[in-house]
Amino acid sequence: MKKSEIKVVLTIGKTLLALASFFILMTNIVYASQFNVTITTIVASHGNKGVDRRIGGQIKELQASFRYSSYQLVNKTHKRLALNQTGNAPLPGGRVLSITPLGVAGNRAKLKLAVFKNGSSNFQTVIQLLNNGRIIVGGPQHGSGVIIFIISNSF
Amino acid sequence: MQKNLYHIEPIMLSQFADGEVKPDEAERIRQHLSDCPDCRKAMNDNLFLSSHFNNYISLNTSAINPSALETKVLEKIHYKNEILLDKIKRILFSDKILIPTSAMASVLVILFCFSYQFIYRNSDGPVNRLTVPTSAVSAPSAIVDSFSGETTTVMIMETPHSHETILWYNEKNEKV
Amino acid sequence: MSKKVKAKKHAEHLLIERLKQGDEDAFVSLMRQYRAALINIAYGITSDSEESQDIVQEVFLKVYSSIHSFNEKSSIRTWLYRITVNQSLNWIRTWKRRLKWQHQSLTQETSGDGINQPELGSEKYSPSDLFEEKELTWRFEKELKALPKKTRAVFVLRENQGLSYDEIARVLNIKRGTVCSRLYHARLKLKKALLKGDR
Repeated sequence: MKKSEIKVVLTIGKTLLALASFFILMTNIVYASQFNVTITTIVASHGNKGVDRRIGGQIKELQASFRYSSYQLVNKTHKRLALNQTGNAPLPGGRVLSITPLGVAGNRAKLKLAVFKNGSSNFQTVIQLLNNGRIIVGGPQHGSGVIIFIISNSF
Repeated sequence: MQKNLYHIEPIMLSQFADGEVKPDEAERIRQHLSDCPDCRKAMNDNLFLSSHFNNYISLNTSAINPSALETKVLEKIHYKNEILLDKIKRILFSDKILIPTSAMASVLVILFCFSYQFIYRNSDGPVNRLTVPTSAVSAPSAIVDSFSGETTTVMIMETPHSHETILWYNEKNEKV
Repeated sequence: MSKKVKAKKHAEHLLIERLKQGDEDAFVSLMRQYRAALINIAYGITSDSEESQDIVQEVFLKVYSSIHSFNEKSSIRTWLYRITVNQSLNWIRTWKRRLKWQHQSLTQETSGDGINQPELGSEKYSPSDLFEEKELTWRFEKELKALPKKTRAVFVLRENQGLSYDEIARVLNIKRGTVCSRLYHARLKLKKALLKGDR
């Protein structure tokens, strides 16, 4: 093969590689624009109701972290959100959790969380959650217990 | 005694010379030839022609070297085979094939990436298989970039086993 | 079918199988078996030794490349003869080949009658004998070349290769009667050429 031919082949190869990289990047963006978010809402208290079986395997971590005697599942909400699309999940006490994916940073989804109570936001946070990772958010009082919501996501 | 009142048809004589007549006919012609000098001459002329023709061919083809011919044929076969191989190589490595093949390979890589992402990110099975236990990861499951609101306390913790991030806050009007 | 014929057929079948497998030794064996006969046939039709060599080369190359299509419905000899005759009849002379041929003719003309002629004045040949011989050959060749090529094909297959009328008919894909009449006419014309002299 002549030198000029090698040059041509190399140029073509580089172009194709660049194109392939571009497409791979694009596919990442396209697919990352779909976020599967699950919100598991639990009310933990010192009552004697025990553990709600529906909570499943997550209970071990909760029991290891908190000293509540009762963990009751309130609801489990699945949301499939596009980039910058806000999804709402009901929380006990007339609260609403809104989640907005803001983007992807490496292997983490950048999520904006806001808790609304009586129509106004009383807590906002921006987190970077690992793909297939979970965050446990809790604290707001509900009756004699506290609200704990576990947010997991995959993209 | 009647002798040679007829002659053998030349075309029949030609067939007789070639051994292409029936046995009884051949016998009849043979008998006639022994008695008929004209037909015998015609027959001999056929034989002379045959031998002259064969001499003519052998004389003119004697200069041809059969071994050289054989070598030439084999050389041509080898050359053709080489050309065929060369052609195959050229076709395989020509730009006409190389470029579309590279393009096809790129498309396949892209498709693979698409399918990989599609399968492993949008179905339950593979996701579970790919899910790395958070305990095995040194980084926290979540990084808190910012927080704001009507809160009294905000704590960031980790679960003891899987090191999942815990974000704990108290609403402002709540008793802590 | 006699045992000898059966054995011959079996041997031929084995040779064909080897040829189909691309066995070069088998191909060499085939060439050695038939090259002389094919050269004679080609020369009998073209009257040109150089063309005959080229034709036979082409025939063997054709056989090598198309042996897979040979279905053994006819004998390999019939197949080879058929290809040779067709190749000889369809031989298209290129300008180069024509020029070459003309050049060779002139060379032959200027260098006498060639190396096969005996020396003048020898016991066997007197100058007059040589002249007669030369004239006879010239007349014969002229008449032979004037024959239609298809007739020459029949004639060479019969006189040189000793094929029966039926075999010739199979090789040339013509009727037995046609073989018979073509042979008769060829002999008639060629005998006239040979016997114009004193013979």
